Amino acid sequence: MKTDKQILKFILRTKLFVIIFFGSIMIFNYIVDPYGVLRSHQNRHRATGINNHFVKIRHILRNKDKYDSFVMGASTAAKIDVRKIKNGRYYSISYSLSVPYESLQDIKLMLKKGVKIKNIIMGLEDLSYKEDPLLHFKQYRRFPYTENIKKNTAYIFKNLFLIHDINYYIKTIVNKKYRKNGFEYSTVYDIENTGLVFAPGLDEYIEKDSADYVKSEIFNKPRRLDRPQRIDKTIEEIKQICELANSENIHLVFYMSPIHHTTYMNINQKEFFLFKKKLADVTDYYDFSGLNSITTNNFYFYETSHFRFCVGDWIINKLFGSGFAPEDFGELVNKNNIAKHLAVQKEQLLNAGYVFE
Amino acid sequence: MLFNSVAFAVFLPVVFLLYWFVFQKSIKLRNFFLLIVSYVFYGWWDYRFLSLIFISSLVDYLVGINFEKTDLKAKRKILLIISLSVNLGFLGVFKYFNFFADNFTALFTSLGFNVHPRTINVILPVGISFYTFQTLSYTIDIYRKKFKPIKDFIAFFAFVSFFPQLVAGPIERASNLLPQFLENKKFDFDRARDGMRQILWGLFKKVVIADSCAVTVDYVFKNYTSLSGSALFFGVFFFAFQIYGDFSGYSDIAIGTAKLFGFSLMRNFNAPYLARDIGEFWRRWHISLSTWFRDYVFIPLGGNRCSKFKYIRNILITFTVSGIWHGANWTFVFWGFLNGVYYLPLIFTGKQKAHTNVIAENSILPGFKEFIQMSVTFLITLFAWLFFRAQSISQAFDYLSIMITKSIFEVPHVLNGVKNMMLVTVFMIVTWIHRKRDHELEISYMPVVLRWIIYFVLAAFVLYNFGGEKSFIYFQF
Repeated sequence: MKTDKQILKFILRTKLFVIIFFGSIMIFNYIVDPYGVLRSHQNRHRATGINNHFVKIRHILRNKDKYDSFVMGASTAAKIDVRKIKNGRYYSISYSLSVPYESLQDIKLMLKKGVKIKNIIMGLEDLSYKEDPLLHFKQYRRFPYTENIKKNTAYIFKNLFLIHDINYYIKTIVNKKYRKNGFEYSTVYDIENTGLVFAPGLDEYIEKDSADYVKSEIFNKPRRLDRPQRIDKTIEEIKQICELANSENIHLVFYMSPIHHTTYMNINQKEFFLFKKKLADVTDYYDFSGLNSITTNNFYFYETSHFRFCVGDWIINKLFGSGFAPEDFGELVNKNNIAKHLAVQKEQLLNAGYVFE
Repeated sequence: MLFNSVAFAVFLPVVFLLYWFVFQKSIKLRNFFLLIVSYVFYGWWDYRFLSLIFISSLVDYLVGINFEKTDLKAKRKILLIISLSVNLGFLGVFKYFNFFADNFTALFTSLGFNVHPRTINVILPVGISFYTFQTLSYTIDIYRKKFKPIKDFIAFFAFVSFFPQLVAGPIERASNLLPQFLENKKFDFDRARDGMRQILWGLFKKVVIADSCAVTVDYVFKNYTSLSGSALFFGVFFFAFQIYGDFSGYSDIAIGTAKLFGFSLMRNFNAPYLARDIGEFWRRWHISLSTWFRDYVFIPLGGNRCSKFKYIRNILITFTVSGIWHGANWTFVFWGFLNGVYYLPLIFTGKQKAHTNVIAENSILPGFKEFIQMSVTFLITLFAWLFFRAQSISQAFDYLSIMITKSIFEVPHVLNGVKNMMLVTVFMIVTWIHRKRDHELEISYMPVVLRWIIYFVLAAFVLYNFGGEKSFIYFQF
């Protein structure tokens, strides 16, 4: 009897410890919500990135009839203002380091869950064939929303009960604003309406003192992605997206994103040309990359990774053949003109001092 | 099943509840339950190798029974040879066969002969070196008439496969552990609570100290040709704490888990990096193995009750064999031999047992002499750890030649170096403060609020550093 009491006392104490320990972690995680998946984040100002991929797909599946058209792609695609596209009810499924493999899974999942898709605009760039999508399953910021409910639930549980990156916690709690040339700003995630990410005041600041802005040192640092290429796999995935779009009667448009000249001059162009060539064999696409009046002008970029909303507007105009877009910005590429197109781009690169390996 | 896994986090409470609430009705029933859950624990990794434990247990059980039936020396010797052959045979086949075959080939090739001995493609069964030595101690002790054979085969099988210490020790003696399977158990709250503390501390050592250091160590050993001498020094320095945290962490979890079930396992580590000479280091490091080699190799060879020459020979053989026990690689052989060489000055000066007391027993800090002694002992063990960690002897010397250059005085730039240094410092301070206690988290003397704060902090560190289920280094031995 005495022994039983002692065991029960031991069990109760252990239970108490476990409950208090994990309970306090859970409450803390729920309040801080470092990856933005535990609570709603409509228009929330944050200094740290949330898991856009997870929350956006979850939002679409919870609102199956709200959208019929999507802009897909990496974080640059978030600068395509979906409110300005008129041939559908658009939502931006843009997120950090998105790749075609994930877009393919997302489209399949949305169709399976009854989302009716009319249009898809998909942005591509060099990272599309460099980023390994399987790595995202290990990253809290990029873990995808999948068909597997168990996996999604496990992800939410991990967000609740594990202790995450301390720096990320601190940044989220402090919520210190970003700085650009002395200008401070936050990002705003509009998950529940457009899927866009805004930086209020930033464009006004850039335009107010553009002469100083374009000289900023941030434009001398290229965005780097030193990872092995997976061009053939990516092309195969894009092929599958095209086949799926065909069979589901989805209007699908691809474009190659504008890349800031500093980054562009630092990427492996041999690989990039190969990707563009193979892509043209699979589908037509608009190519906004290359050295043109937009990509060589710092004014049109936030840094060397992301172009500004005005550039996104010109991309829309070019894709839909209406409104203004700079003449040398973007060309429709297909398998007939790809060789000539690449020859021109190669010439531009050589003139700019790029050395091909 | 790994101690630092989700599976074990479920397994342990379930087994605990069933053990105390369902299977305490009889000793036999309880032992049978322990046997089954121990086999489940081991089989979780690879159920096929359960047959090896079963055969080992069966042979030694039968050998033990037959020992009792005869007093004939020749017959007893045959029985002992059967036990040694089966157990060391398994070890030889699974652990050393390819090593000897490769070296045999290399030797004959260098002599101009063309030989192609067969090698076998088999993985090393986890824990084979541990349970084999444990069960061998049983038959050897019976042969020496120091222990009486057991007739209860379930108790014996449970003793060989007892899950807390099955795969990485402590290597228990039959005389300590086996009688515990034959006695009634009563739950002891204080002991169980202390067991939980030791489990938590063991997890901290493994998940926080060892796994953090492992990242740096792997990085340094992978890139040693392009790093500075100081970075290479810290590569070995952090390895010393990786292997200590990893192995002693496992032992703490094992001992703590056993306490939950009312069992006492022997202490396996006792602040080895506070040792003042190499003799003291080996009385504090992997104690269960050191004493095993002392009792079953060193003493049978003649021990120290012989000429100085033979004493030195016995020491070198014992340390070299203990090196081979760790793995089938010349690096381990050299590591063992080197530790034997370290021991020789103690023999020459007759100071083998100069330091048996607790360091700085009546003071807060060590004296200057003690500090120097500790530092020198630590540095020579670091030198030996380099050979233990290297892939080959030539890599170790290569590493050494880069390390001992002017660049050893440069500011080291190693991955996570500052973070690891802070962790190791805190770890060593705790070890120093609690050097007289049974384990570093024996904090029953503290007020309850402080104790709970410590539990929370340690658990938070463990959870924060928990980057998946990383295996223990000593599983490979």
